[in-house]
Amino acid sequence: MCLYGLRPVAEIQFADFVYPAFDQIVNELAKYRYRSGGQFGCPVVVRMPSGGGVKGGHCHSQSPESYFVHTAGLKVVMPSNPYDAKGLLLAALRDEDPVIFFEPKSIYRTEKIEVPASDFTVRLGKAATVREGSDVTVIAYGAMVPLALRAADTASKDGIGLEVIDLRTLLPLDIDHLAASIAKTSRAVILHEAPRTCGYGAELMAQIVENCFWDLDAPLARVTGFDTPFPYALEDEYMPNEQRLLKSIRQTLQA
Amino acid sequence: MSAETPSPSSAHLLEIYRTIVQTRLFEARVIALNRHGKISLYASSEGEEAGAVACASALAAGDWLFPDYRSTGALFARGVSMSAFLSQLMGTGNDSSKGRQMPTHIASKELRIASVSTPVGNGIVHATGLAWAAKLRKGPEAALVLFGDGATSSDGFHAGMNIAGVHRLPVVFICRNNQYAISLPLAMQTASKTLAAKAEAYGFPGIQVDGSDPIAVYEATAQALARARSGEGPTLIETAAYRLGGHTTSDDAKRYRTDEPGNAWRKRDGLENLRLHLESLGLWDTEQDNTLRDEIGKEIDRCVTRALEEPSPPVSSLFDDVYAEMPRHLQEQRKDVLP
Ligand SMILES: Cc1ncc(C[n+]2csc(CCOP(=O)(O)OP(=O)(O)O)c2C)c(N)n1
Repeated sequence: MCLYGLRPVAEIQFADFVYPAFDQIVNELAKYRYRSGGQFGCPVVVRMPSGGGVKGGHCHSQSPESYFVHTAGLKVVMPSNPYDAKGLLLAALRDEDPVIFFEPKSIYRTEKIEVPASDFTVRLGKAATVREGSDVTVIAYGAMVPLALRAADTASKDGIGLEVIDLRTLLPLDIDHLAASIAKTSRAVILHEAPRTCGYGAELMAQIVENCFWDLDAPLARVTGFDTPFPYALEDEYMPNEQRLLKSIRQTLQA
Repeated sequence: MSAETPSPSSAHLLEIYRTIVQTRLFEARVIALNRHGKISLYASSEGEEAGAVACASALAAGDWLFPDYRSTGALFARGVSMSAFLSQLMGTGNDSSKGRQMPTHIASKELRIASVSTPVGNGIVHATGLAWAAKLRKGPEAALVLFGDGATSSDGFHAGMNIAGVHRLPVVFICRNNQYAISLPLAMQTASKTLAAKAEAYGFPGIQVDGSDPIAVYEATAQALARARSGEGPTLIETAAYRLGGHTTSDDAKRYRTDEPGNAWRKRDGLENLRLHLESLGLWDTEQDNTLRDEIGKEIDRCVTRALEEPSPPVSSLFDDVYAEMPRHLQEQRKDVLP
């Protein structure tokens, strides 16, 4: 369809069902521009609801973003609120390259803010500081952003200032934005739902170490889903929660 | 074939013949270049040239060709020059795809040739998508895709055929049944009586054509394209042939099959069939044939000499075209390879 000049939008019912299309996304969509020497672009947006918290069991709860972040040629986006969802989606639709657009389904109905009816975009590749603070940087995206904000409210009662960063785009990563925050706080905790091993947090840690090592006063920490299949009955234990995040933040502050 | 089947004109037949001869001579040279280490790999279409040339020569200029890695005759029929293809095969800086893909994986926006997909069967989905776009936009274009017998076992075959049938899309599926998928013979590929029969389940016609009869392949394709354009939907054409060579230059077919079937198939050579036909019509003779082969041979010499002198793509191009605009992290990584 792109060869014909259209800009298709594919909707995967749940991200857990994207795997049959993995070959088409990774070998074809992502590589078509490169392998044709720039003759053909593939401006496709692949939307997919992702993440847990909806009692969906192992095939309606996964967070497979790392598979796509590992793929040259793709852009990977995950909004955390309705305003960004609209702005990022419009930006994705107008982008010349394929965009994997994750929609954290657990916050489809819980995050309520005003969204202008007008045409506006949120630039791809730009993170946002959604709460300023000077003690610890919390790096989150998607449904983990509201969780980080709740934790920031709780922490502030103990006099701890969390700076919460919403990545919004995972690929390409806005490392400058992270570096600026860490230069201020010297400490960071990474938060994501996906399993830990080779999760996006691993890449964040690597890039932070490469770029900000001398600014750090404490080891970087991760609060993530576990390296198990996504469970059904024990979903709440699997998902990162405020207690786990606050515990990690305290450890980071004590280090 | 029905009475209104468009038959190729004499001039068109001669053009098809010349292109088949060119394909045969070109491939022989490419295989020699492979043996000399100048081309890393090649998938010979020996025995299938006639079918490939004939089907692609039925396309209109605005149509789209989705070739696979064994489609050389179709590429030449579509207008790819031997020079351009040699640049691709050698991965030189002159390649229209900037040397990004392994040999035979060409792409040409100018000639409406999609980028060859390596994963077997994927091109079927892309051709279907193009046809779907053309139908949505009410365009006159049709898509033609080539794939092997092995590709009928792929998910792409099912997905593409199914959607093409559902939406009656203007796409022609050419299944080059050359009896083998690397070492796997057809009998191990499917329990279906024919590959053409598979179309039945998707709700559109599937036909078998002798792949060594270029006139039959041309007529079947022209009719399928006419069907496609008139909104009647897709057609699956199974062209019966035999892969005379190895799977690629890296394969030794003697390890899994005997020579006998190949020797029998050699006797039904599409090139010879057409030459005899043209001679019987008084359109061709031995002298013309010798002249043609001589001319093509010299042209191949010239093209090879030129291609061997072409430079590699510049190192700086390694990071181009990953995205429309180069992101920061690639700009950074690029510094590692630039002096
Ligand atoms: C999905 C996938 N699996 C395996 C391969 C390796 N492979 C390349 S060609 C080929 C055989 C294809 O056979 P067929 O479709 O009959 O075409 P032919 O090579 O005989 O022309 C295989 C298995 C591939 N390219 N893609």
